[in-house]
Amino acid sequence: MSVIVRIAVYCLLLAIGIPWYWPGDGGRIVLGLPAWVLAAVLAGLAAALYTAWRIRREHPP
Amino acid sequence: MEILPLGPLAWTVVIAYLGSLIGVGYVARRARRDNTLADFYLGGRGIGFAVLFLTLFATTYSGNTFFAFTGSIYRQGFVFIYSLHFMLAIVVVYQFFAPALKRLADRRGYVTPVDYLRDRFDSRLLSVSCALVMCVALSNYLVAQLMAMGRAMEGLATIDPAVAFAFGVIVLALIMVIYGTLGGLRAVAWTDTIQGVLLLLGLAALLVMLFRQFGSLEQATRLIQARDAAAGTGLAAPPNAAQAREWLSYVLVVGFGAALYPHAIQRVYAARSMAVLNRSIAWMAFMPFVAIGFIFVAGTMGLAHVEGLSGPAADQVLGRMMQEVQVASRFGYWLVVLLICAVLAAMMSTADSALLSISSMVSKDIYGAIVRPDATEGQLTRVGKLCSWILLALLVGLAIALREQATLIQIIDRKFDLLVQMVPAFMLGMRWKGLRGGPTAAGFLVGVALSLMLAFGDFPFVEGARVAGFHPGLVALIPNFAIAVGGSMLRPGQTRAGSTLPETRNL
Repeated sequence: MSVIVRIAVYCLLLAIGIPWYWPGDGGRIVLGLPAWVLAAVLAGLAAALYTAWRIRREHPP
Repeated sequence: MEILPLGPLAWTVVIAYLGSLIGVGYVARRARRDNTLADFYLGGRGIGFAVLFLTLFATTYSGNTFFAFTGSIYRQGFVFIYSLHFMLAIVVVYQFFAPALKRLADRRGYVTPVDYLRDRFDSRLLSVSCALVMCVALSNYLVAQLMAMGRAMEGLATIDPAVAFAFGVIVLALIMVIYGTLGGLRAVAWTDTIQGVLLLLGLAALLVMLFRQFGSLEQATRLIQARDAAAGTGLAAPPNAAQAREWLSYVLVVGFGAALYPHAIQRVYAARSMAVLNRSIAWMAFMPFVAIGFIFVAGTMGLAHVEGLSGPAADQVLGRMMQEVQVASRFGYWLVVLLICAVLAAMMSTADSALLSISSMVSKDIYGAIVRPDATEGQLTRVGKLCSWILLALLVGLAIALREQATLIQIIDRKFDLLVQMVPAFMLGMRWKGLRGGPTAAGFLVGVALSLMLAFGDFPFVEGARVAGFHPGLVALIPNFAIAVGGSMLRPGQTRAGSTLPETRNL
């Protein structure tokens, strides 16, 4: 069950991280990059934090 | 790499750095505890956190990260931010199987990835075919690194580019094989530690020099957007449907393929403890933001400020920018020297790991398992070292012959198509004890054959070596999985041997 939840979380983050839903202009800039690029980076950051948290939770030091 | 030739002092720095690697190899040789395969190929299973983390980092981020990735950003635009996702996907996939594999490796004394397959499935067909495919995939990877080394040297020397390319490939390969055969994984991991630190410093230097030379990231982005609006290049736009499919395809194929790199698996075995391994994996989850982040900024700057490159030549974009920085100031010149050392470090740290891994599989899984099953560990280690020299000589020749033949990213792509075919054996095999060796081997062979046919055959539904935007390896993984699972379910009573391994369990 735990594995299925983990896979579901990563699938959700990937669906958000690939900006297929973004409107076509891509003109707005945030932190020097198009806003849709930042959305992809933030989804990746969420996946990295989730990964580190899972590892720490399942295998405490 | 089109940068200006280095001066005598800069060459001294580069040569001193390269010479120090051989010194590290010598020290690693003196640190060996015994003449066993585990000591030579796994550093005696005693790699601590700092070394494991830096060796994973230096091995994962190679010369391709600098040249091929900046070249890809130049060709594809901002959409290549998917490289951040696929590098992260490797770490995500690790957590699903690496801890369980590490536990098994410690209890049962695995040295190569094939040891797990042999133990779990007891199928010679599966273990030998996987060993061969891993050797081919890694050789492909090694050739890409050697070619990157040659291209780096082309720009640094004043001699004929073809001669400089050959010279660079031969000399750097020679240094690599010397320290690799002196100290095995201990030498490779220690040099990786130096190379990992250099890589981080080089990436920081890259960022400093780009901002000094080309201005802010926002300026570059606005320039690209303006060009996009005027010419409709699409380089600033979010992904269209085809690009989104390619994005997903890369995340899956690199995530699963690179997690099954034999040298990565051997680093999992080499960790001193589970705690060390888990800590390293957790930290690795954040490294794409450092490495790809910096490279992405560099590629964006290149796209905005360097014009006139197309096709394989786009891989030269970083070199062009380095050239501009180099001539601008003395500080810029030394930043470039630091970056050159980092680039060489990135290439060598990846190549040496691949070479060592191939040598371990040839000696233990092919020579030791088939040719001379009675060979001692000392004899197998010697065969592995000899194999490193012979194989590297062949691949150096191939790299020189392939100069200017393909972009680096094209070379890298094919190996993932092959490596992902091992997903059922490693990932499903670790979790489902009903998975049997025969069907898994059959599925693997069908998957490999189909992925190669799709990649190199002439089919109307294959465009640019992709099936509807997806890598052939992923498409071939579907029948591979179906055969492995279906065949195992048809005769569930036949499960045996490996399925009793303590870490394998029902889904």
